[in-house]
Amino acid sequence: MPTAMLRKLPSLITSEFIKYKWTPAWLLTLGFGIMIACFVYIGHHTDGNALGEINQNPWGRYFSAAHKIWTALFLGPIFILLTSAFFFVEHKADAWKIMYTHPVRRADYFLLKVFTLFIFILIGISILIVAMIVSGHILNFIRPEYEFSYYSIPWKETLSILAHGLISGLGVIGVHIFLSMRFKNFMLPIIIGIIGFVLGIILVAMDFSLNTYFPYSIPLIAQDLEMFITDHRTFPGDGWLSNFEISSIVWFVIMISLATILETRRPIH
Amino acid sequence: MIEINNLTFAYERGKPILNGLNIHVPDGSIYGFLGMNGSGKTTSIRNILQLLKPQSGTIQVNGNEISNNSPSQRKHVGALIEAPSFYGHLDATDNLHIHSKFYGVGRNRIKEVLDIVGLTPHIKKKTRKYSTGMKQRLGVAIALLHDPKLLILDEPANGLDPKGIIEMRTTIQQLQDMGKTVMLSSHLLPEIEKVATHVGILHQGKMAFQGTIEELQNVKEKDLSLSLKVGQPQKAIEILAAGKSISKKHDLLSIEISKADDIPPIISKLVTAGVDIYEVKKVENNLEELFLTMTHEEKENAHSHA
Repeated sequence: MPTAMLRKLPSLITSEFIKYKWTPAWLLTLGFGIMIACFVYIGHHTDGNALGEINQNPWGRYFSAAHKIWTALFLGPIFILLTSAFFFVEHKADAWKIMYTHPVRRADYFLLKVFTLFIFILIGISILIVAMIVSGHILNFIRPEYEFSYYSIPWKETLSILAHGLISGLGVIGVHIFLSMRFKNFMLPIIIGIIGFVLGIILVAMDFSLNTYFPYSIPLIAQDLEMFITDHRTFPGDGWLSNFEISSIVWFVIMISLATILETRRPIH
Repeated sequence: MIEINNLTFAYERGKPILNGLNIHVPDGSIYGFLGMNGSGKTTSIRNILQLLKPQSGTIQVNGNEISNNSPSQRKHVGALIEAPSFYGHLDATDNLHIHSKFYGVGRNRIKEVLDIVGLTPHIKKKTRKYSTGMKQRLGVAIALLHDPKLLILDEPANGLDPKGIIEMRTTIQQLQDMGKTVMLSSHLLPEIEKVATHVGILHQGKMAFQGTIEELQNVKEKDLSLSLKVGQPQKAIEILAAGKSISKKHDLLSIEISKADDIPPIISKLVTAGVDIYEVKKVENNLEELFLTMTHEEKENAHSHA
């Protein structure tokens, strides 16, 4: 982005936030973290087996449960819905034509939207963290045997778990940004997303060898975090990402590049 | 302000919408850009606004040649393109806020433009609940937000009721009073005549006419007719027959005249002869007839040059 655009960035992000006030994209962002935390809470509240071992920090276990539920059930569908709903606000308002008459490059405006989408996702993840902490303390109040209040949150481990979850979903986000821009539509990307998600479940269940390269499979594989991080590594050693994560990032980069090219060259009829 | 030379554009190969278009919009003018539906007005405007890429020719705005996707050249242009675009779940102030951030415009300016277009009493209402006229006015407010020198309004009277059309006309006249240059597209000649200082008529991707409103009046007066409802049509034809082309339908006569000054002698002759006159109407070319006249003249000129 050129310097002038960077200077305007905070102001333009504010403009994006005004745009999404009370839209489904905004409500989904506010809601998904709370929903996942509720699932984890109910699971721990009702299931005695969820009790951790004595003298072990329960927060790690609690956040791992959130990661499992998130990646297995919600990550794919939430990112599909959120991305489609996010871009649909512009399509519904037929706003591209007027936005592109403003003194901003098309690619910059499009990338601003992608950037704002990531802010939304990070807000959603932050709400998830807060909801998990609050629900953990409520759980501790009702079932003191969990001992949440005796331990502090292992932040490094927790943020690492959530970061791996987010990376596993990048491919899906990239594909759905491209589909939203290509079809300027809400339903078609959602239908493709549902098909992709179901196909992902089937391929993971079959342990298909090409799962590494199928973006909808990657979040599901990330359920088993240990395997997701350590198996299938072209580059061994600490600090490198697994092939699943690299594949997800590559999907994202390719799809965003294609969407940017599509958008900058598109005639606005 | 806007200078277009030899602009060509085609959506499909071999089917040009714009075919060597030349436009000259003078500084401070209200330029009425006329053409039938589908004549290429919106395509021309989208080329000026860089929403479409010209296939050949040049476009200059404020003396600078525009190239594709050059944002700085759009700073001094405000636009309303066909049906205005809004975020319907937001009110007018929020909609204007969104656009204001691109220009670093403050809250006071938002209030000002809402006042200019007369939407201040409706700022709390969600824009999806706005009438067509209110939407068009909000579209103009967005175009005005950054106080541009040039405003391009594509069919701003589209879908408006007569009251809305009058309000829009008033707004456009106010803009000229503020020293803006306004390019205004429409397919309604009478509407353009009421506000424009200059007119361009687009026909088959080219300018069939371009000039001041007075020059257009001269062209129109070349093909005037007089419509008369009389009590004795046959008698009236006999009185007026010499040198006049007259057609009759029931008690309605249509008499070709060359200028408005021909009307009083005709009426005087009929009154003197005792013909009862119930209705007198000067009929000017409508846009379609004007096109036909102009294109016919073009062909004749081409033949005479050959």
